[in-house]
Amino acid sequence: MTMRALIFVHGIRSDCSVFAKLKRSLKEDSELVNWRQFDCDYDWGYGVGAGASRLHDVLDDAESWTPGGELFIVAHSMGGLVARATLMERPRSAVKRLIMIATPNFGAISTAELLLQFQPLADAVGALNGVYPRQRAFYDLTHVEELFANHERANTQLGTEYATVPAMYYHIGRKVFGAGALSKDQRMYTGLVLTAEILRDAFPSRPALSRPHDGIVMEKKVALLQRDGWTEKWDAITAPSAVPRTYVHVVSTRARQLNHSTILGDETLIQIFKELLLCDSIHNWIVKPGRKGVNVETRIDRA
Amino acid sequence: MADEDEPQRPRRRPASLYDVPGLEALEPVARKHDVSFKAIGSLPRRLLLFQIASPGAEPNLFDLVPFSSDIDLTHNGAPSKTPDIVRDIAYTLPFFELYRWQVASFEDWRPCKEFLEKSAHRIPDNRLTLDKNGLHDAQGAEEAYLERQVRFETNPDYDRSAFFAESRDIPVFAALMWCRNVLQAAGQLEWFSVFGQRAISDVRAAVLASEHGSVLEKLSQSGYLKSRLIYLLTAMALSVPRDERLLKVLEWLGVDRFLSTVIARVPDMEPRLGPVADVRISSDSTIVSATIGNAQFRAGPACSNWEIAETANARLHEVLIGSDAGAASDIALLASEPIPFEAGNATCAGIVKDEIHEFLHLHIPLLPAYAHVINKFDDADLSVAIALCSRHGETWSDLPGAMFVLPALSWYRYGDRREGSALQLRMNVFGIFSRATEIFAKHGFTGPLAFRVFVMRPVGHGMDQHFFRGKIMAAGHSEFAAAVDETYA
Repeated sequence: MTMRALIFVHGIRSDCSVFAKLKRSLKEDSELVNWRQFDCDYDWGYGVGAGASRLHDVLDDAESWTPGGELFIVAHSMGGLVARATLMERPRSAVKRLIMIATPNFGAISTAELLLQFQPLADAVGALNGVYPRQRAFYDLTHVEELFANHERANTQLGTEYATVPAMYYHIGRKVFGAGALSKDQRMYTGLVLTAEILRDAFPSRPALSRPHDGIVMEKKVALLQRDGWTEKWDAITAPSAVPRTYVHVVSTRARQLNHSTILGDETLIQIFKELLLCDSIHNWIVKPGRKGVNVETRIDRA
Repeated sequence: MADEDEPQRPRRRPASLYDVPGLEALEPVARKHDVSFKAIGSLPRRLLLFQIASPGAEPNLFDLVPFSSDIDLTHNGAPSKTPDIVRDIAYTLPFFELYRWQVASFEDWRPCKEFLEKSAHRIPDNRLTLDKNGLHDAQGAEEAYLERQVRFETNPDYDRSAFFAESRDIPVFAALMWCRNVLQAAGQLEWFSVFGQRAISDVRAAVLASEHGSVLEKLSQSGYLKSRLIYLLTAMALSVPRDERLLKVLEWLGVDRFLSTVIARVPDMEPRLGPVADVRISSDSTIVSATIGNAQFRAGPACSNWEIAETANARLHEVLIGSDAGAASDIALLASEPIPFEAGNATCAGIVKDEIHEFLHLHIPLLPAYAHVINKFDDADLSVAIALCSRHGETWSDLPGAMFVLPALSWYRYGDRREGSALQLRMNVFGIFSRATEIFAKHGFTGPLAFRVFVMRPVGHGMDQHFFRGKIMAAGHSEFAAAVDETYA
């Protein structure tokens, strides 16, 4: 029997405890109970490169525990960039699949946009979080394409399958500051309304980000399907339809209720993550009929 | 054998403007608009100082444009192109919002250039430029720095110039710029000395000349001259490093006496210049803000009291009341008293498309209690939020905590984080203050407003080496409390 292991990679301002519910649910699944779980905790402030250095160590460790086995990486937010950087630095045949959840593959929203989204204190990201532009991680998140530009020729033989999964809480029609958003405390609520109104006045042309997004990352920046943006999956997403798919962007209708944080603990999404882990190939998962509430995108036409 | 104290000539690095990390994106903007950019002012001067101090090292835009510095950029296109160029810079440079930008065409810049050339005194290192071909040092500023000198040249034709007639310059302005440049060079170059400056007598003469009755009269009549004087005095005062001997030099130059004279003889200057006069020795924090009108400023000039450590964090949570997620918030290290601000539009705010970019600068002397809380953290690991409130603490609970995380940068002055040094913050408040009073009133909260400043650190990075591996975010209040204890220990 093939031994399998899961490696969890967290994002900025976080650690692997964000995966607690997901990990527990996977562990309770009879088909996944024997998959060994590894955490890649790293100091996010030092950016993608430092995270990749740590992930190399964790992957070495995981490979030694599962000789000849298969490794699956589940990454949240900036953790997906850490995983991509790691695999591009040194492709590993043991890593069968990388699932990137709410990863800003084409960058997070800009500094000003980031600030606007940090204002709805508890609503978007769970707390009052400052912005630390001098920290490497914040620089990386605004320079993602630059981050991977040097790898363009380095890796055209990447065997690892990719999946990207966005959250889209802030979609057209979502009233972020609608009645009841934080009704349990009127003072807090009033403060949020004032904050929002002042910001709307201060940024007349920027209060509404291009939606949908999850509070930090726009859905279209999670997908690797940018016509003018090269990634290591460019060949896969522009290949003729007859070629088996090795990349999928999974858009669930449930994601419209989930933000950058809550996407990790949602039961519907957890079922999708399980399917993505257990399928024998991304291509077969894509072509499997009868999946409701899930739209998959796999390719763009070669320009 | 070379003298060990003798500064060595640095290896020349042909850094282009577009090679400065953080400014790379200017190149595609220049291409798109078919223009060339040239940086002027303090950026090229600081780059030269950096290259002398750290030959071969890569500069960092955060440190090349610290605290009260701007990015002054000119282009060779038509003046009508400037708004579109600024918009593209804003949308292309990831950290645009962190800096004050002054972008102008060469044509629009020409009067300022003439001002530099025809003003009462000239400081050659203010005339460095940086473009795609690197630094241009036609006046030999590098040579002078290596000789431990900042030059100060008197313009013999000044009295006959249009600038003299238009009352746009007084001799002390150049003297204050010279002092600022000397102090900054001394702060960045270990071997540079304030003492032994060959220009010091000329500078002293310029300061003394400004005490003349006719100069003070010009000053009394011009809001522009008053604002400029306050700005230059503040910039100089905030550049003084820890070395108390330097205060003696400023005293000898006559700066202190000039200040006293202005306060005594020019109306309305005492409230603004009093704190500036004290800033080098005061324990109060200094606030430098945009002007709202004739020598009236948005906020400040001083803030006396900061709550620290647990008290500051409790204040943050008071503002965030009702948030269950407060446990995962950043940790407040300092919280200011309510700082009153004036409503209205700032006259010197930058506008990008329809956004206002207005900056506040805070200079916080590191008193022992503050230093104990702050200085274990790298300045890159500090962030800023502000909360709007009433002007009086006792009515705080009547107002909601409208709260804003700001694009802010912080520096320990000259990298010195010891007691007696200072923490300096620059924050972009956008149009928040311009709009707040009106919007609060619409919701029934009338009366003058104030703001509190929170200096925060993130959880999970740097200091929390054992916590980020120890599940701080979801572990709950006990671990978080431990992190807080660790912070304030």
